[in-house]
Amino acid sequence: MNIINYLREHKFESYLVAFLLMMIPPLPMYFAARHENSLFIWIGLCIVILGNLITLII
Amino acid sequence: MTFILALTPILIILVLMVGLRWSAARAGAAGYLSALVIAVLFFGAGLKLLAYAHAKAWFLSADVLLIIWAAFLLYRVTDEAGAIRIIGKSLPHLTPDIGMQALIIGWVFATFLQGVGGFGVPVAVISPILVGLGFPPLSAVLIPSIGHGWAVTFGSLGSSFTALMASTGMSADEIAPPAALFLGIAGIFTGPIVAFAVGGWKTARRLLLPALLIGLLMASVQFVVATNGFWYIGAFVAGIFGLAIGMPIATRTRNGEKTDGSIDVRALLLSLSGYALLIVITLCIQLIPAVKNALGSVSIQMQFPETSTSLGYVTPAGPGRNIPIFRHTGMILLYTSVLAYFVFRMAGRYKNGSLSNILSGTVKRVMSSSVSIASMVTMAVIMQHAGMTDTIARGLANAVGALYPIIAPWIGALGAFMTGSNTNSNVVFGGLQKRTAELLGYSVPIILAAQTAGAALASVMAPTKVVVGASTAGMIGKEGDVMRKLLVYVGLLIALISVLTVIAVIVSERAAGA
Repeated sequence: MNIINYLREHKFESYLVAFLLMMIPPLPMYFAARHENSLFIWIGLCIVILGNLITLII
Repeated sequence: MTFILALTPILIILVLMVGLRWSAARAGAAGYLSALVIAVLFFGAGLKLLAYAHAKAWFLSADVLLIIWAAFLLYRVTDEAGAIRIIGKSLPHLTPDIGMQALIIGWVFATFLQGVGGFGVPVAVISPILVGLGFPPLSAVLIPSIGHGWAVTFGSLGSSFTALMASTGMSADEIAPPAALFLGIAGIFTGPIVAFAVGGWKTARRLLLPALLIGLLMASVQFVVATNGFWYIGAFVAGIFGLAIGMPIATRTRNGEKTDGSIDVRALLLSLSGYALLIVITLCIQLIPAVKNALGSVSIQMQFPETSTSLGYVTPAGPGRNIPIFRHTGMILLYTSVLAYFVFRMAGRYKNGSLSNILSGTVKRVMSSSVSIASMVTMAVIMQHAGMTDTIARGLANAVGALYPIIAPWIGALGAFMTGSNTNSNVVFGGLQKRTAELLGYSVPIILAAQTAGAALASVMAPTKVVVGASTAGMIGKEGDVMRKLLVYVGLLIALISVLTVIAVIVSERAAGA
């Protein structure tokens, strides 16, 4: 609950973090797909999902 | 069953925003997550497909976000210099005729503001001006709401139109002509509607000629500008021309009353200088080959391979969105913002701390919109690659068939009303409308024009915009009154778009058959 309250009290910073989590992984994911590297695709996908989950909480 | 599953992410967004009053950012995140789960579990989307979909969405999002950020930066640069306030204060001195004031301020100036800003700015800025002039609060909200709708797609320095191109892969050359035509005709009708909203049939009849003159000019200018590669300044230039012709007309329209007619011309010209710079820079970049080629020489684009789901839905290989870094519309706006900042600074228009106000105000204002764009665009691309959009389109095509041209603008309208903006509606429904048009054999540009026109006109009724307008006019708690009135006028305009879409489809089919 503390983390959730913190995120809601710091909306701008939370949105900024969520935005970065959504926008940083996709290009590395592209290269991971070109090199058939499933692990890095999974990592990137999880980061993007985390960004969206943070947005849900804000 | 697959139709309902495919539709679920869109339904989730609509229900969350309307039913639970979630923000676009939160609803977009929910839509993304649901699309991801459904695409993987029910439509056979694999890991590589998701990776390529995310990368494609990155380019589409960046294309839209660069414009949104820079457009709002330019607005903040001019607003911090007091330019918007000075322009708004100058206009009422032109005429004491309240009908004409409504047309010039609530329609023409609203068009200009939508062209350069958007983001709810026309209603937020103009409603208090009209209240100050003696308009009843309800009229003060209603008039600029109706007045700026037709300018939304080619306003906000092109963000809604860019989103439509990004979500459908269509070019400006293909969709600008029908979109500008539909919205131009709606714009011509908007003036008399604004006059009617002020004073009923009597005012509408009295001001019909000037309203039609101004409307025809603005519509024509927007059409010419938008269809010749300058779509991102379509509404802005239309608004400038509207003010140029509207101001002399206004000074001649007194309805038997007098005005002091005094305007600080120097202050007004300085206030308009930021936008004059935008026109000059745009023309230099687009019309001087050496400049255009030099700035366009550096671009980012990636090639995407063919992807397929385990159920056999194939997305062919092809290039992603091309972003010419130094010639992108967002960069043009950035160059303008920087130059305008120095002009206003040299003129002594800024107080201490203005620069940090401008930058922090911009970043804070656009962040939640950026998050919603990122998640909704990614959702839309995943749905396209997984075949979910195609499934919805087939279901719609089977259900509606020949009636589709009539309902296409209402789908766009629904999207804008629910999501709060023309941009979001274009992102969510653009690909779907395109696919449905293809399946039914209708002209895709015409259907997409109907999508964005319906979305533009209905976006004025979005709950968030109505709340902003109501609060600035002192009508908090009475948003329902505003919506009820808006529903009639906006409904008429969208019905007009339905008629235009049907006519356009018939004409295009006859031309194709000839």
